Order: sequence, then C-alpha cells, then structure tokens
Amino acid sequence: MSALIVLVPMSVLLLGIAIWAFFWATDSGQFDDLDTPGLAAIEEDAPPQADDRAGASDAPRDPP
Amino acid sequence: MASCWHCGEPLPARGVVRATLAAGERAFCCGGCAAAAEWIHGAGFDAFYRIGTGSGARVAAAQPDFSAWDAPAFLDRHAPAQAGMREMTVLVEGMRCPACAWLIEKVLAREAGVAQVMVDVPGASLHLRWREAQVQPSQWLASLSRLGYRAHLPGAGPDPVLERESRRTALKRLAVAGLGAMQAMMTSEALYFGAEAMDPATRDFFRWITFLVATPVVYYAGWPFLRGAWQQLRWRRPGMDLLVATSVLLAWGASTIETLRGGPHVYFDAAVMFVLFLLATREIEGAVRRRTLAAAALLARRQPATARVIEAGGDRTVDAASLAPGARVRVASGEVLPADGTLDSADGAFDESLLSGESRPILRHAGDPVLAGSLCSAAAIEFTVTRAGPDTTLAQLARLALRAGASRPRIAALADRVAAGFVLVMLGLAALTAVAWLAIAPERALPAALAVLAVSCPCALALAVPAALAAASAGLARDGVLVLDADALPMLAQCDTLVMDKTGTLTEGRRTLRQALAADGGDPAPWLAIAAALERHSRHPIARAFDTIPTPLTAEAVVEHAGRGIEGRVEGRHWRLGLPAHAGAGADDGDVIALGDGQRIAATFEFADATRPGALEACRRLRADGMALELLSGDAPAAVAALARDAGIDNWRARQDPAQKIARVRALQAAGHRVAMLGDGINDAAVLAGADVSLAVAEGAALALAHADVVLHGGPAKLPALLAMARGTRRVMRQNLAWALAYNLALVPAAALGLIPPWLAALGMSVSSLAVTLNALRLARVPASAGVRAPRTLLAGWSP
Repeated sequence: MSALIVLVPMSVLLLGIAIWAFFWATDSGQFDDLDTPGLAAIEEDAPPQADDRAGASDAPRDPP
Repeated sequence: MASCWHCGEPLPARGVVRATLAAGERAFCCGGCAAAAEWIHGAGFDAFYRIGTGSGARVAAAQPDFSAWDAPAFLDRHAPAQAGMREMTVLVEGMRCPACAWLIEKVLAREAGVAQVMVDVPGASLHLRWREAQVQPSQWLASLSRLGYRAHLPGAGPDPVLERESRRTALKRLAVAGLGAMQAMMTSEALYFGAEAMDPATRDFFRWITFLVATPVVYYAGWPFLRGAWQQLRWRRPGMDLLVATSVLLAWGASTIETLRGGPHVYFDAAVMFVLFLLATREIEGAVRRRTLAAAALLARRQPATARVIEAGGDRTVDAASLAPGARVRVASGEVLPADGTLDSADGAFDESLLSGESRPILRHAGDPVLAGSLCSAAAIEFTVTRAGPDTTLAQLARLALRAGASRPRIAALADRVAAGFVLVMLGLAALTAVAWLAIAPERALPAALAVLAVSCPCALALAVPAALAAASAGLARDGVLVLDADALPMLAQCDTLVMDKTGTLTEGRRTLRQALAADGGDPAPWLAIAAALERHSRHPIARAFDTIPTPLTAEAVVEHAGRGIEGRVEGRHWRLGLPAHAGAGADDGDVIALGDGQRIAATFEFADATRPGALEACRRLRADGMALELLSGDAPAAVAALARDAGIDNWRARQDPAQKIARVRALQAAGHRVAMLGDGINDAAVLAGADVSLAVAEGAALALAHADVVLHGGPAKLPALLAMARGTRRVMRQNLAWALAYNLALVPAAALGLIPPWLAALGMSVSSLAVTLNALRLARVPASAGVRAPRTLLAGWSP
C-alpha cells in the first residue's frame, strides 16, 4: 500500500500539470477558432515542383 | 446553373464577366468577383471553392478607401501600440462558413508584417497582430475587401474581446470540472469499495486527496453558481442557482467536516459531479445562443468607423460616432453611409438591401432622406447628417435584432417564477428529509437530503421552454424567417384565423405601370412627371412603380395619408395622388390611382401586380392546416376579389383603411378567435400591433420590422412552414414541461426515502436536462423548407 503514498500524489500532480497546460493553451488562443483547423486536413498539398523551395516565393505577395 | 462562380448570386442578364481558371472558363456576376476568383486561383487557394459549404461574398468592383484607418490618432484609440506591434479586433461581414475563415486566415497571414491572424467564426470577428513598421491597416483591409469581406470596428453591443475572454474562462472552468471530477471519482471509488479493508490512515489520505481535487472544482468551476446564488439571495429571488449552490456547498462542507473528524462518509463526488454536469449543460445552451446573437451584433457595425466631413478648409476624416446633426458628409462610390441624413447632391443611387431587403439600388434625389448602412452604389454624394450614432435607423434595427435574441418569453418567465417557488419548497423538503432521517438513522440523513436537492433541481423545468424556442427560432432563421418576439411562436400555434393584406404581401407589391391616361385624352407624360415627383417621397409599395420614371420636378410639403394616398406641392401647385376619391372625384375601380387637385382628376394610372411566388399554394396549405383566412385590403374591390378567388379565400374586404382593418381584427378577437395578421408593415403597422401575432414580409420598408413579431424573408410562401414550426414548438414545449415535471415529482419521494445515492441523483438531473435540450433540438434539425437559401441580408448569418 505504501506505493499509494507516492503514486496518488503523483497523479494529482499530473492533474495539476494537465490543468496548467490547458489554461496556457486556452489563454494563447488554441481554442478560439475551432472551425478552420478542421479544413487543413482536406487541403491538398502543393503539387511537387522541380525547384520546390524557389517556387514558394513565386506566389503572389499581394492580391491584384 | 447561371450563378456567379465566386459569390453564387444569379448572373445578371447583361455584363457577365468571364475569366479562365484552372478548371476552365467561369462566369462571374461582376468584375470584382472575377478579380477575387482569379487572385484566389493565382495564389493557389482553389481549395476554397471545394471546401466551402457556401460560397464567397459578393465583391464590389470599386474598392473603398481605407486610409482613414492608418491615422495614428485612430490607431492609438483602437489598436494601441506595444513594442512596435499593434493588435486589433475587427468584425468581419460576409464571413459565413469555415471556408471563409480559412481563406481570410491564409490570405492575411501572407501579408508582410502580419504576425498573427485569428478568425472567430461564431463571433464573426478577426483578431490581427502586425508590425507597425512593415504594414498599415489599410493594406490588410484592402486585401480583405478584395476578397469581398468588409471589416467593421466593434462598436455598440457586446465587445468581442470581452466575449472571447468569457468564452475562454468558461472553457477553463469546464476543463477544471471535467478533469477534477474524473480524479475525484477515482479516489471516491476507492473509498466506496475499499472502505472496509482500509485502515483509517489510508482512508484519510484518500479523503484529503479528494478534498484537494474537489475544492477547486467547487470554488473555481462552480463559481458561476455560487455568484448566481448570492445574487438571488441578495435580491430575494430564489432560483436554480441557489438550489445548486446549496447542495454543492452542503456536500462539500459536510465532507470537509467528516474528513476533519474522521466521520463515516464523504460526498465530494456528488459535489463535483453536480458542478460538471450543470456546467456542461449550460455551455451547450450558451453555444447555441452565442451563434445566433453574433450576426445581430454585426448588423450594428455596418455603420462605417469614419466619415469624411466637408469643411471650409477641405475635407476632414472624423470618427463616425462624433458626427453631429447638421454636419455635411461626403461619401464615395462603393462606401457605406455613416449616418442618416438628407441628400444634398442632385441624385444618388443607394443599395439599401440591408435595411429593406430590396436588392435593387434605389434612386434618391436632393432633399430625400438617406439612411446609414446603405451603400452608395453610383456616383459619390454629399449629404447633411440628421441622425448619427445610436439614433440611426440602422442602429435601431440592430437593437431590435438583438432584442429578438434576448427577448425572454412570458411563458419562460412564468416557468422561472414557478421554479422560484419550487426551490423554496424543495429546500424545505430537503431539510425535512434530513430531520426525519436524523430521527431514524442519523448516518443516512445527509445523503438523503443531498439526493433530494440534486433530484429536485428544476433545471429541466427551466430549460423546457427556452430550449424549444431557441431551437425553433434557429431552424426558422436558417430558412429566412426571423422571430423577433419570443412569444410569437407559441401564440401563433394557438391562432385559428389569419388576416392578410394584399398589396406587397400576397402580391409582389412592386407594381408596374400598365397604362397612364390623361383625363383630357392628351399626352400623359407631364402628369406622369408630377406623379413621379410626389411618389419619390412615399414608401408605399405603389411608389416603387414610379421609381423608373425620370422626372425633372421635385415635390415639397408631401404628406402621406395611410390607405388613401399622398398630397404635396409641385411647381407651386397643390396635388393629390392616390385613390380617385382622394385625388378628386371618381369611382374606385380596379387597380387605379389618380392624380388630381382635390376637385378634378387630371390623369389616372393603371397598374398590374403579380402574386408572389408560392402565395396561392401557401393559402391552400394553410386552409388545409385548419387556418381560417381573411383578406383585408386597401385596394379596389375588383382586384381584391380576383385575388381572393385565386387563393380560395371566401372572406375578403376591399377599400379598407387602417381603422377599418383594426375594427375587423378586434371584431374577430371579440368573437373568440385568435388572430394572426400578415402585412407589409407600413399601411397596416397599427393593425399588425393589434393582432395577437403580427407577421410581416421583410421586403417591406424597415418600419415593418418594428411592428411585427415575425419577419418572413421570401414572402407568404414561408407561411405553412412557419405554422408547422409554431405548432411543433408548442408540442415540444408541452412534452418538455410534462417530462420535467413528471421526472421531478416521481424521483423526489424516492430520493427522500434514501433510495437514490447523491451522485446518481446528480447524473439523473443532468440526463433529464439533456433529454429536454435534445428534444428541443429536433426542431432546429428539420429545416422548414429544405434547400431554400436564405437571402443575403441581415438574416444570412442567423443560423447557429
């Protein structure tokens, strides 16, 4: 039973860490937008290009 | 499908713009949409069109000028600088779905100097952080505008920043309650099942751990209930929060004392479960409500943030809120008017779609009133401010829409009062249970009392009505029907008679001039010009027929006589225009109005008015649903009789002025009927107010909104669905009330007898509330008429 003396407080400590992490995530805006991130999964990757790195800067900076 | 590839609106008959995208050539309604689509394609965001449930917002071809947003004084007030960065929250109009949010986020994140973009779809807002040295607000505002979205400053109404903060806090409370409850249940489980085998030291150790976990749940997560209970005590209005707080505090306090003195039982688990379940139920309800209100709040911000005031030394850009009546303001083409006023320029065209639902630009002339929130759609204009800030028609409309969201139905208020009495009875009953058990078996007194408190919580009772109404309003709003008064739906379900107006209600109301006849048989053109000048001042549906007739004349001192016509002075002569009897002498026959000086008629104008699509079918279905129909119209008997015959309405009266219509409604009510009235809200504003439930078609002037309980966007075709929804709502409300009452009455005795442990009582209470909410949600799930897209005005964002 003496294992409990260590393990139970440890679970409470973990709980505290989990709550702290959740508070931090909430305060940094992680849960403000629950709508758009779901779309990232169905977004297609850019088609592979010969010079992929240079290609990124080709995209228009500003709308026309 | 002939609709614009970008915004989805029907293509115009002429001037379709074509552009070639990856998928081939596409058609667009205007250059603005084509440019936006080409840019989206060029930037590699084609996914927008695939993932979108809706489509883009229509893009104005002319770009507004955002330079006023760059002024340091303006920025310091709305986006304080911090270490070279500025932060700002703006409301975004036109953002309707996650795809829009996705596009905005992607596009703005690519702007140089933009450090952070956060889009909030339910709040319709956008939070941006940018490096001052690298980018000006006008630059990202222009990008936003090129995509068809408009940014507004958060003005009156709920502050989006505070809103976001409160949402975050609610989420944190829920997390603490959820995680804490799991942990507390784990240790409680050990205490329940291992109590006999445990030595007192281990038991106390577990109890202290539970105490440690449960305390933040009770005091941090449960704070809204504790605060609510304190307020209810202070105002001597016992309510649900008091009951919740009492049982939670009692469970926590008793457990703490038991823990201290090593007593037989602790009830931390009941306390945390109670807080968790209630918090979760409240969050679900709140989320539905927030989405509904966000769109209404946005309406208030259609007024632009700045205005260009004309002064002797040149134009000056000022804060729109600081405009005073009398100031002269310049508005460029494509900009939105910052205040109500009178037009100074010779003429101008205005898109008042947000205010009236009329999507065609409306022509106004010097001296005509112009409204804040309307879009200057042709040449630049100047106008003199008459009302600014919170006094504008638009601001009043927005308050109305907010009121609709916040309106507390009488029946729900009644349920609240019942609940208050109920709470007192239950507190007494819990005390009685405790006393009785103390005499029989003292160790069972506390759990029994706690179970009574948890079981008796009238949460389901209090939720029964508002949940049903909220769900029904949401379902209707998606279909373009806006319920402004929460009592309207239950009341409509009881109505057995529907009184309808004809012009502008069952018919298009946009009558076209079929024939103009001069009384002397000559050229009617000069008389037409006089009539057109007079009608420019009228908001009666018939005046629209004259909108397209050019006139060099202007009318003065125009007075409108509801139900009869108007009079005014044109070129020094006094004229009357309206029913032949009003204009001079003559028979009232057919769809004819006359121009005269009061004695003699100079000319007559004949109109043709088509019935609205679906109106006749709606009448047939309403009759089949057991609604008695009656047609009251200010028009000529011939026209009214023809329509009544087509619609199958037996009871009709023609040539009714508002007073006669009111008398008729009163007579019906006196005969024991419940009367609903459908009108256009102008001629019959007073009659609408007199009916048990007033319904207005939204295309009427803005006034219609102020005098109706329900606004139908799309005309009478929506009526059968509205009636079905009203009856469905009543049914669900009854089911909910019956369930909640039966549940409480059945389980309270069981709890008092000690048959239910406190944690099970808390669970049962929550499940009961959830059952009521889910039952109500059935109403929102079935769209009244599937596949109909709500028009893009203030209703567009109303669906939760």
